[in-house]
Amino acid sequence: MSALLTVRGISRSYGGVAAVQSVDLEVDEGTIRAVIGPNGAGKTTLLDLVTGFTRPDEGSVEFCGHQLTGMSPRELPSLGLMRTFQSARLVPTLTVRQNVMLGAYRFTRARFFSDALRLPRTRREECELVVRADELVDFLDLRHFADTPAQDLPAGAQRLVEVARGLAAAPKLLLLDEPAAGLDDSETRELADVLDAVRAGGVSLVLIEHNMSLVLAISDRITVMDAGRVIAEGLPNEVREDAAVRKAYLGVAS
Amino acid sequence: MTDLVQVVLGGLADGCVYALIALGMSVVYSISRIISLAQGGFVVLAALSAVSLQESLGISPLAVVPIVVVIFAVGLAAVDVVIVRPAAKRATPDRLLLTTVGMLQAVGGLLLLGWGNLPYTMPAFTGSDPLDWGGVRIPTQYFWLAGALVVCVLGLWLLLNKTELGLAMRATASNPSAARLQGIRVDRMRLMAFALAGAMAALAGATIIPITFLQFTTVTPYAVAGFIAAVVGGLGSNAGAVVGGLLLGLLQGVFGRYWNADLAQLAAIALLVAVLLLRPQGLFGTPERVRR
Amino acid sequence: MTSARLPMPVESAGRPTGVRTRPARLLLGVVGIAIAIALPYLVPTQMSLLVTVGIFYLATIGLTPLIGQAGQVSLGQTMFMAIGGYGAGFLTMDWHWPTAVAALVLAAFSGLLALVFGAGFLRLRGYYFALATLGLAVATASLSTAWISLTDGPSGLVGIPSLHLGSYAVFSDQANFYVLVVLGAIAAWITSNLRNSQTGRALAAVGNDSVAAGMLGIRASRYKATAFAISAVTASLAGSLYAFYLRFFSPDVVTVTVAFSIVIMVAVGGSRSVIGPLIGALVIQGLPQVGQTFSNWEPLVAGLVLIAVMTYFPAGLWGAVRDGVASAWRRVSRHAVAQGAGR
Repeated sequence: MSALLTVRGISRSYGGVAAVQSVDLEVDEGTIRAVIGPNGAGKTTLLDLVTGFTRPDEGSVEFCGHQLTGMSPRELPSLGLMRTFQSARLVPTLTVRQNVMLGAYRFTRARFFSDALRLPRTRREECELVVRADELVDFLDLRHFADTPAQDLPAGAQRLVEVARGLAAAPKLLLLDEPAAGLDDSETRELADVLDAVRAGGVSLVLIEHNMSLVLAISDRITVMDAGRVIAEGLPNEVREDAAVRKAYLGVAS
Repeated sequence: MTDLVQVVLGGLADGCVYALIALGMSVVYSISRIISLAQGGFVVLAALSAVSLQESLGISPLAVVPIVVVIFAVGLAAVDVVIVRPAAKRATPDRLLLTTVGMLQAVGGLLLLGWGNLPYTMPAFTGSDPLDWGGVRIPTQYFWLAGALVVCVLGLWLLLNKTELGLAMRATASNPSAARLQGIRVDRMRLMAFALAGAMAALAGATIIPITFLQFTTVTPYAVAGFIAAVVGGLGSNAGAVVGGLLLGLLQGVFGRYWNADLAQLAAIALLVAVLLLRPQGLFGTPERVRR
Repeated sequence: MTSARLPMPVESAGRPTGVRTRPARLLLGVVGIAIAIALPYLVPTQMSLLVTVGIFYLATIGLTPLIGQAGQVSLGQTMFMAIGGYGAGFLTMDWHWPTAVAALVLAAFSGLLALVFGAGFLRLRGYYFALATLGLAVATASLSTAWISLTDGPSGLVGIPSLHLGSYAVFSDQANFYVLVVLGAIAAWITSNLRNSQTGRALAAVGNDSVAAGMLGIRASRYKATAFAISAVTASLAGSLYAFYLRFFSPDVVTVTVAFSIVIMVAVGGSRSVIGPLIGALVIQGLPQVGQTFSNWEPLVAGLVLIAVMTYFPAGLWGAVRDGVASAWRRVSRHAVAQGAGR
């Protein structure tokens, strides 16, 4: 199996403090890669570096044969790379359905004049977008929120909408920043099933998460970070048994 | 030559007022990130209030100054409590800008209702005969204007750098949420900022009115001049406000004399646009995230 | 749901459910136009007010994508009104252009000019754009009195012809009003189309968080500049029509106060609907008409109304009504769903 995403030796420091220090990460096609670690371990910074939100001091990111380093985040959706945020960044005034429709922006061909005059091309596209958005809204069990403005949703549900919005772009790889935060146990189990189905649908995932039961249940491989470094990497049961991990993270968490 | 000196002095006199308006905006902005476009309107309102007080009480123009200063300090503190505080709770900076547009409009409305659309002026503080220095005529009021600016700059500097309150205000200006965590009451700091802005507006209005005519229609020009001075100098920078104000006054004075008043206004806009495009943080501002 | 397969991005032929139904919009439009047609017969004494409201509706409706979606306040509408107004006078009187052609060409010119200004100003964050456009408004006010060869200075440009459509002269208040109804309806239709399209959603994303919008592949600067250009086109048309209606154009029409009141109209009515700006234009233009003594109160009341609306109804008066109805409706329907599920 070929690697979809390859991160090599990526580093970034802020004012002399290394937030991420020569981290390697590989994600294979059709797999879920979890990145875990205590708060401040550099997980979100790693996502920012991969998606070009933050420029790395050194190191490289390769995705599907494209060099991402130095690329604008705006170009990533068309390559098939999407992400969600730790605190969801939806458009608060738009409804859940409209937010998900916006996720498919990279497929939109109708542009200003067609939209202004509501030409047939726009109408056809709107229909397709609505159908697709509703499928995804159903898929994430957000049906009863479909017409609710995103700002009126609880934080946990907003994060799920972001997942739906990310999927609307039909990405090859979706980076999720703590999607389970704010969900209760049964909702977390449902999310695990959803992510399973996403993987089965051919979308690879990078999952940054605190919830160990979720991570252990669905990840194919796990990377453990602490203080900006990777301290362990492997299959879920390997990582669970790793002494360094127990000391740095699991011991504290459980 | 004497003509040029005369024009420069006149420009600097106007510049003192612009600087005082910009200084008020700068103090409010640094504490609350609100650009108070109404500040120039308060200057005109204070000036006409001073005229009416002086006439009805029959006291000397100079004696009116402390009265309007106190009234406007308290008045703007009240504006903060009644208008700004409820608005700031839910609004974004964009909406707060519109709130201050509403305040400017309301101040204009008050002037129209209270004084009609008529020009007003007031006797000078100390005699109406200008000094004559080698052909250059200097109204004594110019010294009062310069003095008002110096008093405000010095007073503000002492307040900010030599007092507990000033320390708290500076902490709030640099990082409101951190200041709140340290137990500083940010709301109270904003109240102080508005009170200071009110006092400075009153001082400016009462001091400029003896050498000019002000009325309902002069509200917008003053508001705009003040905000241009503040933006050119750098929003939130007190030194910038003073330099921006004096520079603008000088520019308008010189252009107005040798060209015409409307084109002087255009020169001011050109200055504003140039600064916004080339150095959006202003001459003295820190380059905090002004651009996207 | 959890057993569901990930929906694939295939071309679906299914009928979408839950789309904002077209008939409702259509009905609203038909009723609106019917009322507009009837108005001159219902209130024949208020025709000049109706025309003025129509002109300012045109200037404000075009501002709604910029303010309501892109979240940028432009205080510079008077610049484009001045281009439309003085330009119409110049092109028709000095160059003898047909009136309608002049209006359209000036509108296109204004749109292009807005794209140029937008390229510079829209790099600025938030209210810096508002301040830059305020600069444009002040410059416009000064130029309108100072550029005497074009504007005839403070006394204004006289002798501008009426609008001619073919050989028909749009002269009476009523004819002007109907022209404005047609143009206003077209502008309303376009802005509402945009709001309910991917372009409108992209604009909203840009206005809310341009970084997050970029993550979806949206180019923020292009959308903002487009919205600014729309505002310029309608403002220019409004200016031209004002000139043709008054057969006169003066600096009084494009003062900074007018620039403020246009934004006040949008803010008061609400910028996310086609009705909001209409209510705003009616309230702000109608206030001085309530009575002679009241016209002195107008600036104060307009200012206080703006403050109150910005503080308590940030979505504008119409927006507040609509949001209230919508959330009540959602509560009722969710309640009904919950009861249905309970059985």
